[in-house]
Amino acid sequence: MAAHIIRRLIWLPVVLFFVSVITFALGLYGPGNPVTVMLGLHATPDTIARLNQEYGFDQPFHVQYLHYIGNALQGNFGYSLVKYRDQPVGRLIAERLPVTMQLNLLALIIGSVLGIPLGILAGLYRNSWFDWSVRTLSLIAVSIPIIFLMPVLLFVFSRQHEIILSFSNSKFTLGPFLPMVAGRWEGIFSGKIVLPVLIESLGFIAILTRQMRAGMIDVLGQDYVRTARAKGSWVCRSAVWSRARSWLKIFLAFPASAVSRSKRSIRASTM
Amino acid sequence: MAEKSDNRWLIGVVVILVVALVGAVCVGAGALLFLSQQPTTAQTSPVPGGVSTPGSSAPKPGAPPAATRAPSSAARNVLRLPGEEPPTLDPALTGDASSAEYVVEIFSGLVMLDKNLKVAPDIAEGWKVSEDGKTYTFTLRKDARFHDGRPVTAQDFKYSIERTANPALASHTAETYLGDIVGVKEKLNRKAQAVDGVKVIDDYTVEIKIDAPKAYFLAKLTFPTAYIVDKNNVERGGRTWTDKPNGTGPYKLQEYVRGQRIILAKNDNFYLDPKPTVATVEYILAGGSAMTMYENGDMEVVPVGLSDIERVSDPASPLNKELYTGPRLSTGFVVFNTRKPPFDDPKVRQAFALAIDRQKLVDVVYRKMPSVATTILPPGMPGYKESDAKPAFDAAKAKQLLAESKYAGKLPEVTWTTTGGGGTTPQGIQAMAAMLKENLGVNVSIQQTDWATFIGQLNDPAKNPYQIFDIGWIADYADPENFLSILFRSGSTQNWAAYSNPEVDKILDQAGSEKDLTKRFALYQQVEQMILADNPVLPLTFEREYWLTKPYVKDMLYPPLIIPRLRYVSLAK
Amino acid sequence: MASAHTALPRQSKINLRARSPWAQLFMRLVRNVPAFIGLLFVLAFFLVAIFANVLSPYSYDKQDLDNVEKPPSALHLAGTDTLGRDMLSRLIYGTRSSAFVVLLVTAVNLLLGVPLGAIAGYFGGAVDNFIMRVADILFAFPGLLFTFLIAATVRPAILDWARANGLGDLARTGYLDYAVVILALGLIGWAGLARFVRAQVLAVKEREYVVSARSTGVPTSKVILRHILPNALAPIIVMLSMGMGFIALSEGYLSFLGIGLQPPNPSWGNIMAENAGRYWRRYPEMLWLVFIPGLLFTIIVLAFSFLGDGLNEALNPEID
Repeated sequence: MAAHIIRRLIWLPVVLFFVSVITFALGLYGPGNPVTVMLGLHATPDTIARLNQEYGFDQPFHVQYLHYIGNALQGNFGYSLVKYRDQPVGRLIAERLPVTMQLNLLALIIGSVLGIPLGILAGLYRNSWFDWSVRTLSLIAVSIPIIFLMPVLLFVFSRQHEIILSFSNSKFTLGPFLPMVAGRWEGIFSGKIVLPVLIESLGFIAILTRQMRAGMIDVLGQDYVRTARAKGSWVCRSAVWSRARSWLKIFLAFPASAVSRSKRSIRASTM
Repeated sequence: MAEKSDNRWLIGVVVILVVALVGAVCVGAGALLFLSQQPTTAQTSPVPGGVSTPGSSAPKPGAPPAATRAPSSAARNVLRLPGEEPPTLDPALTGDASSAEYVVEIFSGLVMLDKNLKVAPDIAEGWKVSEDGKTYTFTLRKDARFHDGRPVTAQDFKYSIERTANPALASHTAETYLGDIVGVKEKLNRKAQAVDGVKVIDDYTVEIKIDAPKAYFLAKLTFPTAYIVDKNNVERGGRTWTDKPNGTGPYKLQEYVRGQRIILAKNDNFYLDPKPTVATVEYILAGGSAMTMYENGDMEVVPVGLSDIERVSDPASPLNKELYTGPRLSTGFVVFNTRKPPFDDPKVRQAFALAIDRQKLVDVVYRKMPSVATTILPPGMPGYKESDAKPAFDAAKAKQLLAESKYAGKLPEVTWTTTGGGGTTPQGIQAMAAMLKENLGVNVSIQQTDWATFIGQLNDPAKNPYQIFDIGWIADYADPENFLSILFRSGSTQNWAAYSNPEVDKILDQAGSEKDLTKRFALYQQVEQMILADNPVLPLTFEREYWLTKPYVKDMLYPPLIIPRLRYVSLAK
Repeated sequence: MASAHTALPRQSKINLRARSPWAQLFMRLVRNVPAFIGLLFVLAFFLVAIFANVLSPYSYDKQDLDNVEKPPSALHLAGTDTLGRDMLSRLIYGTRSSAFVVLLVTAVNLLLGVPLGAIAGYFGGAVDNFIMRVADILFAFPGLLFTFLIAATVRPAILDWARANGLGDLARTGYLDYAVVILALGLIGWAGLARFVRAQVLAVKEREYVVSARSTGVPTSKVILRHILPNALAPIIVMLSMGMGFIALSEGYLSFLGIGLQPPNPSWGNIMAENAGRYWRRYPEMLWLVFIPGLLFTIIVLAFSFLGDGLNEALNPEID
């Protein structure tokens, strides 16, 4: 196990190197050129040539790449060219990162707190009505297209539609929970984060439930657990301990899935 | 048996856990709901005589919640409106409307555009133009100050121009707006150390020499590229000096959180009248549901989009009273590349132009938001001549013209290139392609491409591979030259149709240096008709501004060009 | 529901054992109600795609500017869109686009993922290391990001190249848009499959019959094809069928974002994108503009998921 981890860690820089080359190349050879975008409809061939030279876009690929990676390794990711002209890219990332992390962490906590027990239970009572409904709901949660879910949720959350409580005459709307309308990040205790966190944790819950359920079934199927169960020993203990390794794996995999989850919520909040 | 009881015990524990957590989440959500309402009460309660106490905040039947919230904003003297993220706040790098919107409030220059889009004195209180029209002498106001209190002098202007022309700054607007000044192009191309054309006579007098007499030069100086920046501020702040800009304009930058908000605070020492009265202007940058926020009373001003326009235009709608609509100096065109077959034949161009039913397109697809364009110059532009002529549409004549053209019966493949908002092929283009098929029997295929590639090709008119495409032009300054010369003079980079008519070129040059405005506009109107007769483009739409303004906001301007406008606004208490 | 679910498989256990493994699989699948419903929807999806031209009442791009945004009626069962095109016809042809992409991407994934995974698993060592590191690189890009990047950056380049090399027709008819979507999804999707096949191969490799086959000098290719792959086939099928839903979903997202299929070629994604803005403010009068394509899209993705999930369950039958 340790040897495996070390081997993978040695490979990490190589993988990162290729990722950086691919990303850089896609950016460089992708559509258009930052100078053209910057100039818009006012470009003249002279201006284009002048700016290409000032920014070094006329240099060969490897020179530009080395320049970029050399600076990046020293923590300088360069300066934004078009959208936030002359702002350091590292700073732009640092400004957004805390919000992304808070959102993800909250969704992750809610996701694990609900997803793990649900998954364990569903695994223990495989094929019961409980398992059936947990499985169905988690499948729906992972596969419902966000481009359909968002219009529906945004509509539900809109302030224009009032929900009348049956037990009193008061009306209330989900409007305060509508994300992004205020244009300011108000922290995780603001109602504005409910919708993004809801959507994000929905995905977490679904994935965790499915993984835990599969893990449970796997463990319960193993010989020693069967024996233990037959002998009447505490199922939970043996099952959970034997899963320790898989749990570790799941938690190690979180950063990656957290990133892809957060994309989901970003899309949700920009639509 | 033992197994079962074990399981039950386990289940019990897990169920309790889940219930407890769900409960906690619900309570948490309740707390969130409570907390999220806190700021609202906090905002409204300090208002003297304000409406809201927590108990009374439940909306009365029939009364929109907005009504109870509105006065608080007015009383706090805050104007909230949606804003776009500015690519830069550096005047020298400003080339787009979203940046200019803020830059014109924070900074200022020698001259500006007033409410009527006329060039008016700003930091310069007056100027003289020499006989040959090539030397401008500006006298600066003595009371103009930077936000930190330092007086503005002629050296500051000189420094600003030198900085913009510094090739290392890589300003992309320098040539367009300052290129007429002697020495700017040389410095940009590293052929000169300094801009010879700008001379400081004394602290409050500056002289500018341009390369040829140009009636529109002063209009160009109103653009942020020629604005004044503070040398100390720029040099101390380094590359990100605009985080704390020390400008001269009517508003100061109080706070800028990227992706969230820009807050401007009024400059009490502003030198011009009227002085700004609204204490704080808050631009909300996170887009999305500005309209919802407006209706909820969370914004004072909002632009109306395509999806809301019918609802808002309905006279029965309460919002209709708050609607402002006016021109924007922008024309949408269909461009025929006169160098590419089949559009090298004027008859084909005319046939295509006649086969597009612009009225229907605007009515149905664009929901009447823009108006149909029949001229190149948009309404509001000096020299614009209103015509009662209906937009020409004649399918029979179009077919006949096509049959008379040299491509009759052997029309090459026609591909319409379009960029698309958000990537997808715009509906208007799909509709026009369908009209061409129906009215002319021509199969036009649509090719959607990204903006960067598109302008990259357009900027090289000699090699532009696109046969027919759609594009809009927004005026940089209120002068017909900005449309007619830039788009149709031979050799201009923005002459997308690759149109060339020596007669037209001659009149354009003549109009460019004509000092008498009436004569000048007459020349432009004449040349406009000549161009239209040749059909290098089909003017499609005149864009319009649609804004909703809360009734308690007074004198909010929606000019067709970006001008400093916030100092005119006031909020009724 | 609950009792039906727990009781049925137990009663029929003996029955199942008597049949071939594939029949058993099918029977188990059929007994799983959601999976079976999923299967029916998936079949319907492909049938509609095949017979799109027969089923659709109008042409998918015929505009009628005098009849825009009409609610569902006898003439237009799903209403008309913002250019007066028949929504039902567009949705039916959108099914065809979606099915086309789903099948081709699955094929690309299969052709890349299975051989690469099998080779990596069987040979191990440097070959394994190389293939898996390439897969790692692809995995390093979160979610669909790499797909979006490729679709957004490669599309203009491919279109330009095609136009410059006499393939303008392909660009114009939109076939290249399909190609780009398939490329973008296919290039990414194989990595997951390869990892999976590799794990399967590793698991099977040490079984006695494989070891004995190798020791008796049976050629490597034969061992892989005859002994290893057949055993891994069923899980691969499950994996692919679960992947189909994801592919349909991704195609919808790409087209929704404008980097997939372009209108007037219909795709559920671009139909929703074209109509979303209108629906937004005109609720509830224009519900059909977004809800009908959205629901269909959701149903198909769910159908694929339930089918895959059911197959998965059927392959790993109850332990006890």
